[in-house]
Amino acid sequence: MSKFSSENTSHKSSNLWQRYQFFILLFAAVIFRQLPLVSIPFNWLESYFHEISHGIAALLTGGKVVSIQLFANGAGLCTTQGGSRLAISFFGYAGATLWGWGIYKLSTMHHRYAQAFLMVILALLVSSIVFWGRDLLTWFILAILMAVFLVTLKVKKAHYLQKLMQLFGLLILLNSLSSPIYLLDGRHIGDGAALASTTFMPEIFWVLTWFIIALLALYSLYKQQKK
Amino acid sequence: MHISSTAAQAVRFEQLSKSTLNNQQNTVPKSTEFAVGSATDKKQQAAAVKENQVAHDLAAQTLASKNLAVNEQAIALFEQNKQSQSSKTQFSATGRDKPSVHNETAVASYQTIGNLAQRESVQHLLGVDLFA
Repeated sequence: MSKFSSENTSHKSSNLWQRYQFFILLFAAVIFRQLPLVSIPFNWLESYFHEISHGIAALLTGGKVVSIQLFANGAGLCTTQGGSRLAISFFGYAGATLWGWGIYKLSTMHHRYAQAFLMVILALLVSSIVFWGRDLLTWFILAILMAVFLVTLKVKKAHYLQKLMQLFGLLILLNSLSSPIYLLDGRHIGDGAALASTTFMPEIFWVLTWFIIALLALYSLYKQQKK
Repeated sequence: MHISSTAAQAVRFEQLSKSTLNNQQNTVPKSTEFAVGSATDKKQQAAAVKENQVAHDLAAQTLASKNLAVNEQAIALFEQNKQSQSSKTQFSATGRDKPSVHNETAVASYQTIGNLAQRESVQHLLGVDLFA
């Protein structure tokens, strides 16, 4: 009788975890973002994916990346030459959202795919250090990020690897959900302002677009979890 | 003899005071009149001379102070000229072929315009964009 009841409780808790896994991870990501020291590498992570998205957009539209700079406070700067200004400006926030969404999505696939994706990210980090990093602080931040992904890659148990990657994905997504809002400071600087001057659409339009994209990405992950 | 000389002094002073001090104009002629009118009385003469002398001293002092003020300005101007001259001589000592300051300023402003155009062309050539 007691054995049956304990089995029943564990089944219930695993069922609860399965049901609310997404929200539990989302809540954990929100808590992580509030922690003073722990949140710093995750801010760098989002900042890196933001800047590398600018860089990839520049490369894809025929331009080239001159340098990528990352700062301790989570800010970043990508210097490009040539390419489509519209695409490069747009893919900063949109790209970070896509990276977050992709990391989460791929983690739910086979263990091998998750590892392969992590290898791609590591290769990107190495090429960023070699080709685009120009200062010590950027190299240091990129090295920390590499260490984070190497540790994740070393996780043997597929389940833990999956959960870690999902947490990273959600952290990046949350950051790209909240970051565009900071552009609405009336100073008319940043990607929103660059897009507004290129397209004659107001900055708020672009901020809302990025916000909606991030929301849709979150919703898509939630829907996938539900299935 | 003495009286006439003092009277002459007083008259001369009157001329001076007319050109310099309007306030003392009223006091000085009074004393001259008094000096000429009472030539026989020695005491009065002495008093008149003394009074004249005091008035003369006063006028001289005011004149001197006015002159000193003018001199101060002149000294300041002189110092300024001296300084600029010394800096010019320093330049000439270090490089004889160095152009004058006016020429240098003209060339610098001319080059600034040239650099602006050059900078614009370089920016256009490089086409570097910053994304934060």
